[in-house]
This record gives sequence, C-alpha cells and structure tokens, in this order.
Amino acid sequence: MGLARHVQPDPFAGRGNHELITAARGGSSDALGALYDRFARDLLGVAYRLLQSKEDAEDVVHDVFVGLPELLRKYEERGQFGAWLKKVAARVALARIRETARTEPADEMKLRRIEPRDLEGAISLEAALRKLTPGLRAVLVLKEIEGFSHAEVAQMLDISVGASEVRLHRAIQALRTMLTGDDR
Amino acid sequence: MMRFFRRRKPFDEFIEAIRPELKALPSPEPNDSLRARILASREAGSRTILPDAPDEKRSRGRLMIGAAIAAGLVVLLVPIEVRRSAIGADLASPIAFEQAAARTVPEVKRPALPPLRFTGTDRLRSMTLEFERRRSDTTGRRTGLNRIAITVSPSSVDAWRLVSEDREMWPGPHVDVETVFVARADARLLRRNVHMSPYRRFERINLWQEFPGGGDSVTGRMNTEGPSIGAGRTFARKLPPAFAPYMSDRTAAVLFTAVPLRRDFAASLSLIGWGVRDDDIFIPVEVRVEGEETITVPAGRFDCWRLSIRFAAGRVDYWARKSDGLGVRVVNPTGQRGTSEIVLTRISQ
Repeated sequence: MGLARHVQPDPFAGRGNHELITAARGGSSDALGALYDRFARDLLGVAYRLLQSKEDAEDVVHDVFVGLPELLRKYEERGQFGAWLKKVAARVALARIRETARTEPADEMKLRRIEPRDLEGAISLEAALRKLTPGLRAVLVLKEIEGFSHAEVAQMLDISVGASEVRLHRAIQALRTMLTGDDR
Repeated sequence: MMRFFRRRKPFDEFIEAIRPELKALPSPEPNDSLRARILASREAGSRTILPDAPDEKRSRGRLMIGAAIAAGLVVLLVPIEVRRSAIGADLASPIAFEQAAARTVPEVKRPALPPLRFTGTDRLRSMTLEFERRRSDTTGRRTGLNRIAITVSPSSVDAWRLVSEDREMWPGPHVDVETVFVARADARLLRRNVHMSPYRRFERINLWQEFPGGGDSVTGRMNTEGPSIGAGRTFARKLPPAFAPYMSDRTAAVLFTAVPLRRDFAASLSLIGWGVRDDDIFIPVEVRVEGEETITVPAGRFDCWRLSIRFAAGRVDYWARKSDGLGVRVVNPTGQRGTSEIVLTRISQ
C-alpha cells in the first residue's frame, strides 16, 4: 500500500485544502489519504502529547480520519482547517483520557505522584511531562504547546476559564518542582 | 491570593524558558500502515462520530450543549475494537453476582434456557432485609466486611421501590446506594439510580437510568463529583428482547420471591450494567435449581433451594428460602480476588 502510494501520482498534488475537503466530504479515499498526508503529523503530535502513548495516539488519529468525511459535512470552513482538525483530535484524545481515568487502577494513579528532583536524580522534560496527571498535562499541552487560548482549553475540557488557569499554574509548578527541585 | 500573584513572574519566566523545549519534544511520525488502516476501515464501512469543534461565532450555550452531546457520542460510537477494554468491577454487586455485571459479552449466544418469568409478583411486600458480606483473598485471609440493607416499599400503585444500601465497614469507608423501581405487574425495570462514594479517584459517581419503550432500551446519564477532568456522559442502548428479562443484580434477593422456584427450575435472564461503556450493557445469566438444603445463617435456620447462577465469567451459588424465595446466602467461589459470602442477618417487615 505504501509503495503503491509513492509510485502512483497524487491526484491532489498542488490542490488547496478546500478541494480536498470537498472531495473527502463526498467520500473520496484519495482525498482522505491526501488529508492524512498533510495533517496526520500535527494530529499525532497533539494526541501523543496528551496521551503519552504512541498506540493510543495512532488510535485517535485513526478514529479522526475514519469519521472525518461525515464531520466535514458540518465544517463551515470559517477558520483554519488545520487548527479545526487539531481541535477535533484533541477532543477525541481527551475523551480517551476520560475513559482511561474512570477505569485506571488506583495504584497506577499513585505512581504519578510528583517527586522533587533530589529524590530521584535528574529528570528530563519529557519524563516530567509524563509524570503530570492527565488533567494538568492536558491544560499544559493545549495551552503552552498547541497554542490554544484558555477559553478554548476550558471549552475542550468542559471546565471554567479560571479552572484552566489554575491547572496551568499547578502544571507549571509541578514541572518546576520536578525539573529544578524548587517547590516554593 | 497576594502570594499567588507575587509568584507569577518566576513562573512566567520558567515556562518561557522551557516552552521551546516543550514544543520540540519528539512525537511519533505518521506512517503508511496507519494510513492504510484508516482507508481500510473506511472501505470496510467503519465510521466514528466525532466531536465537532465549533467556531467562535456560535453562542457559548450552543457550544456547551454541542460539546456535551459530542462527548457522549464519541464515547459511545468509537468502535469497540479500537478502544481499550479495561474491565473493572464497576458493579461490584452487594448481593448476588459479584463482578458479573461489569463483564457484558458484546457478542453472545442467545440464551438456551427459557426466559425467567416473574409470575408471582403478588407475593412482593414491604420489608427490609439485612445482609453481611465477608470477603477473603485466595489464601483465606479476610479482606473486607460490608453491611447491606435492602428496603422494599410501594412507590405508587404501579411500582415497587427497592433501595439497596451497601456500606463497607472494613477496610472502607465506602457507601454504595442503588434505588430501583420495578413494575408491580411483572417486575419490569422502570428506573434505576446508583450512587457510589468514593469511586476510584472521584468523590462520588452517579448513574441515572430509565427503561423506556416497555423496557426495550436503557437511556440515562452518568457523572462524577470531586476532582475530575470530565463532564457527565449520556447513553442510549438497545436491550434485545431475546435476552429479557433484565434485572439489577441487587434486587435478586427480593425479586426471586416472585419466581416459582421448583426442583427442575431453569431459566435465563440478563443483569443490567451501567450502559455507559460498550462492554457494560448487560450480561446474560442462567439460573438453575441444583438441590435442596437446610442452612443456618445469622437470621435463622431455613429450608432452601440451592441455585447455581452461571455467567460468562463464572458462577455463584445462591440459597433461596423455600417458603417465599427470599435470598438467604450467596457464595461467589470464582471471584478473581478470592471468595465472597453474603448471609442474611435480619428480616423486618
């Protein structure tokens, strides 16, 4: 499949997103594949940063593209398509986090407690991010890495803007504690 | 509050310092196999209903309603094969079929036995049954003690209300309250509410179910209280007639009084789950009278029918008083974490 794709000419090469969206909306597999080629990297990125699991992130991207042609019928093409699609992926990833949070064993949750650096030596930023609780990590990822506003983050997480701000503060505090040992 | 603001500057400096590194953190690369899997899924007819990401021009009220519905739909309709099935003891039953109802088998054979019929509903009456549940691990060490009270009272001329209150005394504390409304005529489920506190990392979880269409479906919602990143979920599930009747396992000790048990009794029914997840809608069980025994429990000495209740994940042994079918003793010898025994300690009218 992969080889065939590279050998065959891309029928949407050089076309704009609008044409791809229109064709994908109509059920074109080629258009859907072309959208994957253009946007999968960004979607995998946001899903992975939220879920911290390659397999889960791929499942999210799979679900997004499998449902995309139907969702596109509701897409009004008002803003940037890439940002809209990333928001959809973030929502699907967050739904998965909720699902996991409900079923995750309590012991596993305890493993995520935050420990200052002096207890376990140096820690990388990636490891520190992984140690954050899903709720704190979600706000940090969406706000600081993906660039969503607090209003957008609050909407995606179904929390208030104030709660989003507080979570971001706590997330940064936790990262700071883990990375610098400073827990003031 | 002042302290919070005083500390903002170092925090801002810190996040600004690490932001480039945060943005540069590696993430997986898209690959052809994932692309092929997506296209194959589409080709095979798979569909997922996704949450929309409405644009900023819509009103906040519409956004919130849309988000709530979409969040519910994505949980319900993302295909089960791509979701991680994490079976938990969501419905740790206080009374009969412990760990059973959390294990609905999505593709199950139709029941081989005839459906259970509540033909003696006129025998239901107001009462309170008290039970004690003792749990032991696989080495026989005692691991828990619960006290359970089930109160039956008339709700209206057409319905009975059954309230089950399960209090974990040790290691606890844990309180689990379920209220079930059943039709007086045929014990059909009408409404069910469950409140568990605490529930995993939440302070409380609440479930509200209704059974419209004469019981051919279950609809409702679930939410959590306490630290949570999630909103509630709504759900709507079909309940296939072939697997009827549907019953909450907590009501078995009382509702079996409406079943004419006899030596060769054998029937099928289904235990209703929470309906929130695909793998927790209902679980079919088979009930058989295996023999007759006289047993002694704290509430007294009773002549009983000994029943086996079998489901996909195992079986429980159940003793029902011969005189009226009241549940007297339940033993779950097949629990993953050991055994559980429930005994009747008191009956009051």
